[in-house]
Amino acid sequence: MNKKLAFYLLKRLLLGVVTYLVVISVTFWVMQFVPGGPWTKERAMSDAVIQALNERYGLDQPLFIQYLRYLGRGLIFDFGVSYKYKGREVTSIIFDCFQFSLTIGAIAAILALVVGLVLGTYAATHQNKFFDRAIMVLTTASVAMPSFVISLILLYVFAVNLSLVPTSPVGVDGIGPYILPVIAESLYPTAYITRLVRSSTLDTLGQDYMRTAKAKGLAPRRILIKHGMRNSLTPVITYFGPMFASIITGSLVVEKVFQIPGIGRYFFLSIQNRDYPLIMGTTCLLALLLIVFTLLSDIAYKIVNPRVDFD
Amino acid sequence: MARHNPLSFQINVEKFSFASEEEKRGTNLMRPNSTFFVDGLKRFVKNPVAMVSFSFIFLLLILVFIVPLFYPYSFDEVICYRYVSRPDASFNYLQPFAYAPLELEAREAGAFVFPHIFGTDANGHDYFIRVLVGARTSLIVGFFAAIIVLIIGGTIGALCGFLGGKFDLIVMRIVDVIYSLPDILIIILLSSSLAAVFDANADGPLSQLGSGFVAIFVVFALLYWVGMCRLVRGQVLNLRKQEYVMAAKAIGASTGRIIARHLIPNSMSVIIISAALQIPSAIFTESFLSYLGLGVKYPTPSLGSIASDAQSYITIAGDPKLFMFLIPAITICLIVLSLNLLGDGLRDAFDPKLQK
Repeated sequence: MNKKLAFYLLKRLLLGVVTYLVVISVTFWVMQFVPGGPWTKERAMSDAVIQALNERYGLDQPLFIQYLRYLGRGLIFDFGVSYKYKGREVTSIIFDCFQFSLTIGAIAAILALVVGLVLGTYAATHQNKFFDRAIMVLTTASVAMPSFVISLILLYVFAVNLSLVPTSPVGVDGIGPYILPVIAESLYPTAYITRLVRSSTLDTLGQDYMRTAKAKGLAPRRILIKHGMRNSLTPVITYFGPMFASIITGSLVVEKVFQIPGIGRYFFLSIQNRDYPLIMGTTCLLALLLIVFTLLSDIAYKIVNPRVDFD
Repeated sequence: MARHNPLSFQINVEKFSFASEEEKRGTNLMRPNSTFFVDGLKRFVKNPVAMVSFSFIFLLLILVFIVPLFYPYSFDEVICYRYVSRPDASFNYLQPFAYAPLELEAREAGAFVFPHIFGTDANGHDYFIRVLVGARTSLIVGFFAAIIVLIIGGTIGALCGFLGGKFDLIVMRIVDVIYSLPDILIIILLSSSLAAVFDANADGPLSQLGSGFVAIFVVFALLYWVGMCRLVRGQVLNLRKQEYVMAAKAIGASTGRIIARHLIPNSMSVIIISAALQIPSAIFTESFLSYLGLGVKYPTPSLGSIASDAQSYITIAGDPKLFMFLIPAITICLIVLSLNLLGDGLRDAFDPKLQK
């Protein structure tokens, strides 16, 4: 590893830490400005009870002390006990719900990558033929569809009308309930990757070294995979990292439509409930994953593509 | 009189005087002069996809801004109160072009009742006008979000490019951090918090707009300006190095003139196209928030909130109303699709770097 790369890594790492701190701080201060606290519920509690609860959870201390404690907890990834789900550790709640989002998201991401690569390469090598046109039309149309529209139509057609998959929530009935959410979450990234791969492969196909490879008699498949892929994959790497992070942390909409008890859902509910420890936990996890995967994909990009400067 | 020395490097100033009218007439013009804008326009008109998208958006704009002015129903009007003073459920869930019993009576009596083109919704509002006004809301959100991004990102980016030095360095580090913030997270956080703030003082002028509405603008103002900032900064840095800018400086043009005559015209097309592509992204965000219940406040409709309400109609036992969900959903898709295609068409026509 050369000096420049080490310096670049250090800089990116520092940026990641700053971003993480900013996310924690923004979360804390935004929640402070919101009227109503975690104890505002349908049935009113007496002041004495609220006082006792505030003392127990340290909410009676000055804001700045609370903020510092908050920061400290974010750094060691221990968020204490949830306010809403009494007696449950936030980390265990997150662990429970994260597995659903992770399963669905990881499958969807890999599906999107594989399908996108195949379709994109095929479209590029058959430019302006029927399939290329069809793929372009389909991908253009599907990036214009909001995810709730896709999810609801999938749910209506395949689960309600045709009864091909069960309507029961994930966690019961085996793999059936996972199918539609996976499709719903993978549609947008599939379309995006297809377009990326198509345009970058078209770029690569026009390069001189591809002609050289052809001239020296290599098989077309070998030219495409050995010489073309490595160069046409670089844009996909930049996109895949952040996409993977955001897809495994669960789409709020997809999890709402398919009633998945995933992390996106819990994040949304915890804000509604003012469940500070849970908000904190979910936010930290989402931010951390995004930062780590963006960093990883940037590093991978630099390694695969040595022409890029480390600036 | 000094004879002209053939070896002299002194420039003959007369060669740089303006051409006389006679000389101008003498040049043989093959065709009229063309400008960058006219050239781009010609390319744009020749692109069928872009033209279809443009016509669709144009028609839609006319439809959503002019039709509600003289449409007989308004988006928040409960139709039954025209006939009776108490709520009447027979006006809810009408099929397209169907009439409620009381409306049929009025028609029998000879009165003209304007048909409900898309029927009515669960609250007895005319659905057609709600979709129109919803589309208007979504378009307005998209447009203003793009303007906000353009103004904030453009100004800061231009300043960074011009001033350089420490200012540039600090701002670019802030931009780096904002760029890597998880945007969905911040949007949800802000709009939920704003929703709570607005619920606490429901009579404020902003509260009428709805939390999602304001949250989108706040989020675009806080987060999404960074992309524009980087773009504008890059443009300014790039253009400042161009020979023609150096030439302009060499003949003593003022900074203001360089900005007005060289920098703005040359970077404008790229910047405006990029701002235009913010519009569909903002419409997407708005529909997403509305779906989660954080969007515009009832009775103001937006396409996202109408579609979100309509999803419960899909599953009405025995009488599913899929079309009520499909109408706003397809409208969103068509708007976003045609705006995307329009942006691509503009880019192909006006971005000089893409020209072959």
